[in-house]
Amino acid sequence: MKSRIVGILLLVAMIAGAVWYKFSRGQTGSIAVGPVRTIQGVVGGEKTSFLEDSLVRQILAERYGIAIQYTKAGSIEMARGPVQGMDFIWPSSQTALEVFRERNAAAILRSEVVFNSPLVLYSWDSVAAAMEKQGILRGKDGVWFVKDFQKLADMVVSGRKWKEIGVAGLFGKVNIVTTDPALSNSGYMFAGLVANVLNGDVLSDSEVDTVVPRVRRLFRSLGYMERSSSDLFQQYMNTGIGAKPLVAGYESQMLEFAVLNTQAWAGLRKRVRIFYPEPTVWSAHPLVALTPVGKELVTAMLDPEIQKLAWERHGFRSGVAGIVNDPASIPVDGLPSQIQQVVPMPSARTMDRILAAISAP
Amino acid sequence: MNRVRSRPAFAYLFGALALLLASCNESVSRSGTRSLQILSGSENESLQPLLDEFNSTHGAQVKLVSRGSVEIMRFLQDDSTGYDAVWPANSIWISLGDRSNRVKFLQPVAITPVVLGVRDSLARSLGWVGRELKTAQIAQAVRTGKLRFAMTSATQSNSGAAAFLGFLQAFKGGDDPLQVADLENKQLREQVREILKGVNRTSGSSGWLKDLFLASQYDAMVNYESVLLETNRALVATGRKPLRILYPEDGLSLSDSPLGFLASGDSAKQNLFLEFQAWMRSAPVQAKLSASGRRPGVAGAVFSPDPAVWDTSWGVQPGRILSPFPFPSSEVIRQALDLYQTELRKPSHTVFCLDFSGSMGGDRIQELRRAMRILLTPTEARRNLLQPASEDTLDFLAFSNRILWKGRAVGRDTAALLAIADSLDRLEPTGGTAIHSAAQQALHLFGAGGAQTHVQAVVLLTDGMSNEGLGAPEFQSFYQEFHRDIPVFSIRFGEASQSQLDDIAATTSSRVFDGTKDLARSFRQVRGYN
Repeated sequence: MKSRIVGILLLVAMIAGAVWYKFSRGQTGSIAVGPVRTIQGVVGGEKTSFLEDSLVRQILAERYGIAIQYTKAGSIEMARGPVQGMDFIWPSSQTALEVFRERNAAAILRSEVVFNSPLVLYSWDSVAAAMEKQGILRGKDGVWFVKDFQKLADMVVSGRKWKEIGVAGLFGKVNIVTTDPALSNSGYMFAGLVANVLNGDVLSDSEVDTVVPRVRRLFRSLGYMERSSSDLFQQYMNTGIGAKPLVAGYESQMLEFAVLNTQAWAGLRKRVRIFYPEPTVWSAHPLVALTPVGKELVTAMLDPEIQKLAWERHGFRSGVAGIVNDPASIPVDGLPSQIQQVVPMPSARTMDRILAAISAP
Repeated sequence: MNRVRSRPAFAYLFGALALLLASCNESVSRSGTRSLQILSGSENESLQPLLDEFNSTHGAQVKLVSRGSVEIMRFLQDDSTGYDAVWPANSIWISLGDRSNRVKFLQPVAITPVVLGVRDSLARSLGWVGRELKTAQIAQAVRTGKLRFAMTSATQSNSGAAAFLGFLQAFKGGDDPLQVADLENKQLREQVREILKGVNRTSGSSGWLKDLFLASQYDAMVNYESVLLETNRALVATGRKPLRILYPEDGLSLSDSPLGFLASGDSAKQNLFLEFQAWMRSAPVQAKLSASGRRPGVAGAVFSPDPAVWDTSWGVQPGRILSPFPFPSSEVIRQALDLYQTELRKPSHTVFCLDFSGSMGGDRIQELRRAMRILLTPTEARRNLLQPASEDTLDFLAFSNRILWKGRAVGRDTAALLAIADSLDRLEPTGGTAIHSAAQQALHLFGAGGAQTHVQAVVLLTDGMSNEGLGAPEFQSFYQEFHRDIPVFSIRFGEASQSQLDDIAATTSSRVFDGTKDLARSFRQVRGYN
């Protein structure tokens, strides 16, 4: 009788063990703190490979018991869209947060800018050479700064051709390709930056009419605009200088690419260039918690190890005071250690007017 | 006693373990069958050997289901279920179609531009060799009757859509992208209509144009650089002259062959997808792709064009920087494609030969009538971009062993179209089957000189085997003496004789569509060819 009880106990223990084994393997392959909860969110496309990173997923599961499921959406799109069933949204700008807050202030349990990335221009060696000759770029300690953005914007607006400014082999006119500002944050921020540049200072609501025709002209000359900055970046990298000579996007995208695609980067490193507009605008990445478990995700993202992975593997500069981002830990040339000249975006109201002008038929 | 009694406990134990293991295995096989269904542009059909290699080395079943890229866009818009991944020719069709953001992990696989291939001697006599080509020169050659070319349907296939948008862009002039207002411009419309008059053959698939060129003599086609290189290799291998490859400077567009996952929450599928995508983008496979005439689609990949494949004496320029024209906004693309279908494409004159023999009775005739309704009902036709243009002519011949009924609709005459649908509803199937005689009758309906103004084709819908009237050899000799390049396409359903229809396709440089599974779909497909 005793042995029967022992046998049954053993049986129970083994089944429990097997169930535990199967369960924990199904999640992360190692010990979890309590059950891992799957949480739902909407994120900007530029953060998808950070969220797919197995090192990031491992820390989230092991230390915080969180597994993330997400759908991709443009920042402005997600700020205006429905969020039922979501534990968090994670757009790529403060403005998107403001837009969201206007209608859903009560839904926000916590929001924290966990990462930052400056808006930059990606380009290619021969374009950089021509633009330096044109007096648009200046090089300092191996970093390219756009010292005369106004001149560059004028070139685009006045329809100068690549051939005229000394880039051989490129057909068509000078353009700065970006994402659809009505749907995606990088295009939205670029519109704000251009408006500031053409105005000579942060554009105020009363000055909108003086710059809007030129901003509109610049965007209308782009034709089809991608909805996601990650798709646009893919095209820039994969189709090359002919199709995408000059693109506006986040610094983080290039850094992440270089780290995660070592082999490809070896072939590209010498040809690819990053231009830092002076001044530029910050793309902040406010993580907005809508449920208690979403709040736990905010805590998790502030974890120093996650912050380190975010910079060293995905190129996001930290949004947390006291964390230093060292350019030497990333295999990309021409990275400034700090982004010094940053200008605020025009107000959300001003931006609405700019966007309306861009999309008017 | 104790030992004996302990046995059942161990038996429970092993039984329970076995159950557990079984349930483990079951869950693996349920979620991880290692199969992927990819909705793919037809230009990827030639990658089948690579797929076979992946499947055999990775124990997987990755399958391509071919659709035109523009159709893939429509699929994503309507109901993107039933497939695990999409692989059109250009990422723009995903951006335009994927409104619910379901496509994940989008990465290009290979790059190839849409270019023009022209018979070498013709290219030389036009003075196009050794200099940059502009769209206006192509239009000039069409206008003076020196050039006729084949191109895919802009409302089905990426290469046709890209060429069409390229024509609009080039004639508009300037570097700014096309706007909605430009589409209203009468002169621009006229110029594009005129260049499209040069189209002598059209198709729903870029790969098929290659087969057409290999089967018969044509002057020129708009197609991918990669397909032209394939065509040339085959032409040279059979002792014929390769086509001259030309890059219209002001109307060039790129195919970036993007491969993306349709998110479903099935992690086994997702892993297999990522495995397959990484394999397609790996250095050895990229090298194989460049040996098949594609440019690498992976940033930083080494591109060392094999001179035997990238023969520069054909005019191919592997070192060329590919500068495409800017694609217009989604609204402009949508309106432009509508405009192509209803106003600008070369009008078509199509004779539908409908089998109303006795064997068609019951479900089959209902299915045929339903398929015809898609074409004949304006709202249905419009939804499928099948609406007739103002100068289209549609003839209908219902046949058995004789012609049972004839009907004709010209242009967008809604009343006439609906009357035809009603007549077909009333007509009952009867009698034997005389396919070749019906095809001959159909060919006689085309007026002399009609090929200048219309794309001409016969579409035969049949479930049978010809057992009366003209035989296959008589039809063949009739067609040879007929001396006109009018294809007789077939849609077979039921137990139609494949070999008889294949013979007709070979004789008339056309193809047979399988209507046994989804007649309505194959019907839409065949409309891309006429």
